[in-house]
Amino acid sequence: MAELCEENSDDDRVGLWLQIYAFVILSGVLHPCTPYGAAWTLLHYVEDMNEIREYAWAEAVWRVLVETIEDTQKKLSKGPLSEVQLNGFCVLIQVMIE
Amino acid sequence: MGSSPVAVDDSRPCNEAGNEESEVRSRKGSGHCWTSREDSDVVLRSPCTLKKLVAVNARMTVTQRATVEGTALRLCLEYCNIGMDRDLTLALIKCWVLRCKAFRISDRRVPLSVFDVALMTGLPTMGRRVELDGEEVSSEVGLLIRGAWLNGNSTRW
Repeated sequence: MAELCEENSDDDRVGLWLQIYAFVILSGVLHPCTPYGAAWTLLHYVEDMNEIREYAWAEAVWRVLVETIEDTQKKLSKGPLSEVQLNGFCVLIQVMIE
Repeated sequence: MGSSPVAVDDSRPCNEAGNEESEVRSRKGSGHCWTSREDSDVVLRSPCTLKKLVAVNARMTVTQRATVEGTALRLCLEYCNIGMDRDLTLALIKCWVLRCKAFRISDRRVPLSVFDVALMTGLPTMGRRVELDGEEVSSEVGLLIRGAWLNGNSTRW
């Protein structure tokens, strides 16, 4: 997806570039849920870039983060795992403690 | 999409007698107990593409930067590439206290609130609720992104 930003990086198409860039952030950084897909349900939030400021994005990031912490804790408590995927902006939990 | 302001109840008291699952597990021994041997076996994976965002930020033009600066995502321009520390992340997950939405570190509880997330990300705390499981809407930019995705140019972030 970051490559799509590069492909549409001409300054005369900056409006379209901004929408792609915003989707890269919303789907890939703030609310990632799979390495092979995208959070398509967030696509409509980049339709109008003036409206994006009207949403409580920090609360949405927090919600996904808490959900992934709790899901992972539950999975780990059930026994040994070989692998576990952490959704959301999970590096934040270590930034907070450091 | 909802239109009501988001309200998160972070104010509930978190008393010692609460039903804190991780503490119950470790203190009473009735459930699973964490062991260091299990830690060494778990591989943590994250689909977060912070590294790619930082790379895009480093290559953007003056016009693009000025455009982003006019939006609610302006502080995403300042994000740094931070690798995930596996051991620290695992340790924090294990000491999460469900009821308090906090990490139990030694004798302290360190809550993780919406406002902490706002401080770390620069994102707004107030406003309409983001529906993460809402309907998919077809649009021009959506078709472009989906088209590129399906053509295999961007099948990974």
